[in-house]
Amino acid sequence: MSQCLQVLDAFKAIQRRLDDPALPPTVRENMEQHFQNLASLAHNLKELGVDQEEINHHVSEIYGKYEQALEISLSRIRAIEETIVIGDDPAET
Amino acid sequence: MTDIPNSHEAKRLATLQEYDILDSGPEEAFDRITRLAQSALRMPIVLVSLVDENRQWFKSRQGLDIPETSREVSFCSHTIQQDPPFVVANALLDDRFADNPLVTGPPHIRFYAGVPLKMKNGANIGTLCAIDTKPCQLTETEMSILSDLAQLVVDELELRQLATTDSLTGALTRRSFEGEVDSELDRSKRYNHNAALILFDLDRLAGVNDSFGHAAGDAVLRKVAGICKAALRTVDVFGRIDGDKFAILLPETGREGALNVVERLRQEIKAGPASMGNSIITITASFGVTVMAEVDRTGHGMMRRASDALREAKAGGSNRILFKDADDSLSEVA
Repeated sequence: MSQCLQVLDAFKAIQRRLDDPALPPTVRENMEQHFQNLASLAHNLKELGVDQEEINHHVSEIYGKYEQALEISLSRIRAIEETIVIGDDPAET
Repeated sequence: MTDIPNSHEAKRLATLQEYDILDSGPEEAFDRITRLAQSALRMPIVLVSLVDENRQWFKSRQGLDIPETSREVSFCSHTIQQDPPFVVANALLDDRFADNPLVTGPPHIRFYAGVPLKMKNGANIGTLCAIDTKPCQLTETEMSILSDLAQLVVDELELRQLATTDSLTGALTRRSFEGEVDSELDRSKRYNHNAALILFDLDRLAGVNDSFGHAAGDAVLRKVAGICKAALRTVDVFGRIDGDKFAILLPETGREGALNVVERLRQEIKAGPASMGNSIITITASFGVTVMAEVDRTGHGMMRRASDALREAKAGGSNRILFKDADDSLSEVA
């Protein structure tokens, strides 16, 4: 299974993002799960007899939509993290 | 049909509400998944169904024109009660469904296969289901594909939810918390229920960061969030609204109930140190508490009163609880 999946652009794109050490842990967990679920889907579609090119198309399309949501989530998460400051309360000093 | 225990159903419905997806518009991300299921499994109808209190609502639908049905007639209500897929090979031969209006009338369901959408907290909020108008069966591989696609729906939903929760503690972000508070207050007003708001701040967390590093501070924040989540009910709303400041909304709770919760949290936070290598870090928290007033239309007034009480609590030392009533009178509780 792994040999045919390696050619899929979606998996390469996911791997590139997973290589980013700055990826928030919760997003990384979700992406790893998504990677596994797409891989399982590709495998089962192949078992069903679906053409490899068609599988590649479906997987890429699903990942493309996921990636759009991913970008929005990442920008929101980073915006939230940038506004969080510890110990800025004057009463603490 | 075995009914879901009330506590499980309350948790399930609360989870569904958290995802804030009911009655939202169609989205290509979900439609692609249902279209693929429709073509790969050769099924005329495929749905992403979310099971609400009294209805099932379709986030994505292929081959069906109606946006929702009553929960009473829903096949998916059966699916969410179990973790494995739920399959009905021929509804006409199944006593549970033979006289169901969706079987005896349009869309004339005969075959149904549904996979629960099981979220991270274990709640099944809906299903991905495939329906045929003639009796049939799916092969093992076809069922696996339906399960894979259900998981992809869950991935999408979870991903969107990540932006509403703080990645360190799992608590709601300030913006999401305030949104939840406004909705909850609206509900409380409508049903004439009480609600209480707790605001608390960890004492001298900046000192922990300075002495032990930010990893230690993060460990303390996670520990405190864990204590709160374990102590709170499913219906309570928990948010991290700033660096070391958390907020809790307690629906259907008055002054006495809120103060019981706060005192328990104060004790548990003090008694539950975080370990960092060879060091044990103990921490305390200061609390400001208030209850909903007649004039509160949004959470703004409650946040202001709780914030005033918290400021007073911190100004007078640490590990204290102050209560600010709806009439702005302030009292020290601990």
